[in-house]
Amino acid sequence: MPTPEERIREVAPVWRWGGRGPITDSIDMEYKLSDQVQNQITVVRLETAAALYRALADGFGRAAQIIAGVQSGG
Amino acid sequence: MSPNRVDVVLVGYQDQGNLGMGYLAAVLQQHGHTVDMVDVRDGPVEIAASLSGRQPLVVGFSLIFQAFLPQFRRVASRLRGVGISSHFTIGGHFASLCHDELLAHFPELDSVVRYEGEQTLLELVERLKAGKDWCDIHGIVYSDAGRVIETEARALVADLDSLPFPHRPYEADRLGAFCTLPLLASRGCARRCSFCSIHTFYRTAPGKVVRVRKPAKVIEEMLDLERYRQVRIFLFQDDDFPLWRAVGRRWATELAERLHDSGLADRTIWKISCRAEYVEADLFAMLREAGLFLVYMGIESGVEAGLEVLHKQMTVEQNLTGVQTLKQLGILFGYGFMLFDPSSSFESVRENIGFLRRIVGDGSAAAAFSRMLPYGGTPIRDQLQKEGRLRGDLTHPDYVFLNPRLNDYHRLLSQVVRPWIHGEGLSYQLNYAWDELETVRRLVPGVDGIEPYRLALQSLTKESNEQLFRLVEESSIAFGAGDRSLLDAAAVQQYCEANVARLISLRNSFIAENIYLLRDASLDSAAAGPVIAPQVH
Repeated sequence: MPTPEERIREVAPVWRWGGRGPITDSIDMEYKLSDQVQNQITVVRLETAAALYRALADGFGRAAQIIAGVQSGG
Repeated sequence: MSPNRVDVVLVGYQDQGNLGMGYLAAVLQQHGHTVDMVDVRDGPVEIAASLSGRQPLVVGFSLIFQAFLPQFRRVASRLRGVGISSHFTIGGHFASLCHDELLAHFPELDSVVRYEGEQTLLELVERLKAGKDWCDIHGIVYSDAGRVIETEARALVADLDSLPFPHRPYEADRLGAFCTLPLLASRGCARRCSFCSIHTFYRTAPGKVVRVRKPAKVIEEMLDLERYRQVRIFLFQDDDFPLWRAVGRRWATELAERLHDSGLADRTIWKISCRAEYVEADLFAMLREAGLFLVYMGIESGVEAGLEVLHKQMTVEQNLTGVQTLKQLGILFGYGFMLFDPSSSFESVRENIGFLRRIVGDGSAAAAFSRMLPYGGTPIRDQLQKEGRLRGDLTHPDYVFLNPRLNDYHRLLSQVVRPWIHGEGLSYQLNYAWDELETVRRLVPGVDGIEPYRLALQSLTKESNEQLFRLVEESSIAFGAGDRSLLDAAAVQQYCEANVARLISLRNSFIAENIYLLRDASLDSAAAGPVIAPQVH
C-alpha cells in the first residue's frame, strides 16, 4: 500500500508538499542580512585563499625555474 | 549589430514577480523599445555571459532593499569587466532616497532614476537612442567630476490607469495546481510609519501620494491574467490596499460588485495587505464573498510605546479588534511583527509575546517575529543617528538597544529561533499549510476531511506557538539573571524538525485522501487557456 506521499506523487505530483509558497510574505530581512554578511565573509575567505595559493604556486614555479636554471647552467 | 540586440536590460530580484520592473518594461515596450528582464540571483557570471556582445543601450538595476546592493554591484562590475559599456542606471526606494551614498559606493553607475521611473527611464532610453544629451531629464541624479547633480524631481504618475499592464515574462508561481501572480490596485501610502521608506519615497516626489486604479481596469487585468496565465490566486501587493475612509469603502464595494459580475468571485481568490483598523465586519464580509481569503497586516508591535516609536498611528486595541473580526469572518490573516524595536526592553519583549499569544495563541496562524531595521530614507534611521545609536553600514544598517544586555540576548535568540521563524522554518511551513488548506477549501468543491484537518492543523500551530512564546518568555528572564542555557539551538532545531515532519504527515494524509479530486481540479486549471499573453494594452 503506497504512503500518502507516494500516492500524491503518482496521481498528481503538482500537489507534493512545497513548504514555502508564493503567498507567504517574504520580508525576512533580518536573516537575509545576516546571510549576506556570512556570504560576504565566505567570499572574502575564498578570495584570500585563492590569492594565497596563487602566490604559493608562483613561488614554487619560480623556485623550480631557478633550480632548473642552476642545474642546466652547472 | 548582434541579431539578439536589446535596447534595455532590467536586472532585479524576481521573487513573487517584480511588478516595478514589469511596469518599466511594459511602458518601454509600448513605445517600441525591446526589453529583457533578468533575475539578479542568476549571478554576475551568468548575467554577463547572457549579455556578452549585446551592448544594450541601458542596463537598469531595480534595487528594492539596500541589503542587496553588494549583489547588484558585483553584477555591474562583472558587466563592465567583460566590456559592456551600456548606460548603467538604478532605481527603487533606497536609490531614490539615498542617491548620494549610492553613487559614492557604486562607481559603475551612470545615473540614478528617482521615484516612479516609468517616464524617466523611457526618456533616458529615447535620448540615448537618438544620441542626445540626457543630463537634463527630470527625475535623475548623476555624478559629474565628483559632484552630484540632481535634476528637477519628476511628478508621480497621476493616472495609474494610463500605464499598460505589467510585463510578466516569467512563469507564475503555484500553490498546488493553482497559478498565482501579483498585481496592484493602487500606489502610495498615506501613513508615516517611522521605520518605513515607502511614505518618504512618495512624499518627496511631487504629486498625489495615494493613487488608486479604477476597479474596471483592475478587473480587466485580473481577467487577462486568468485567461492567459491561468491565475486563480491574485496577490494584491499594494503598499496599503485602498480601503481607507468612505472613499475606500466605495471603491472596494465597486470592486466587489465587478468581481461578481465578471464571474471572478466564483473562480478565483485574492489576498491583500492593509492596516488592521480598516477591518470592519460588514466591509470584509462583502470582500470575502468576492474572493478575499487572506489579509496581511503590519501589526508590528503589541505595546503602545512600541507603536508610538514606530509611528504606526494605531493602538494595540485596534490591532486586536482587526484580528478578532477576521477570525469571526473566517478570513485567514498574516502579520508583520517586530518583537524588537529601538524602544525594546526585556519587559517589552515579554509584553509583546503576551500580545502575540492573544492574537495567535489559539493556533489561527503561526507565530513569527523580527527586529526593526533602520533602512535608508526612514525617519527612525535619522533619529537613531541623532541619538548615537546607529550602527552597521550602508548595506547592513543596524542599531543598539538602550539596554546593552538586550543586544546580546537578541543576537543569541535570533540564531536559536532561526529554524522556527526564518525561511523554511516551522512557522513558515505551518502558514503555508494554512494558505494551501484555504485555497483548496475555496477553489475545489467537494473536498473531504476539511474540518478534521483544520482542527489538527490548528492544534499543531497552537502547540508550536506556545512553545515559541515560552522559549522567549523564560529565556529572557533567565538571560537577565545570567543564564543562557534555555537558548539551546540543538533542542530548538530538533523540535522544529520533528514538528515539520508531523505537519507534512498530517497534510499529506489530507491531500492524498482527495488526490483524484485535486488532480481533476489541476486539469481544469491547466485547460483554461493559452499561455502567451499579449504584452501591450
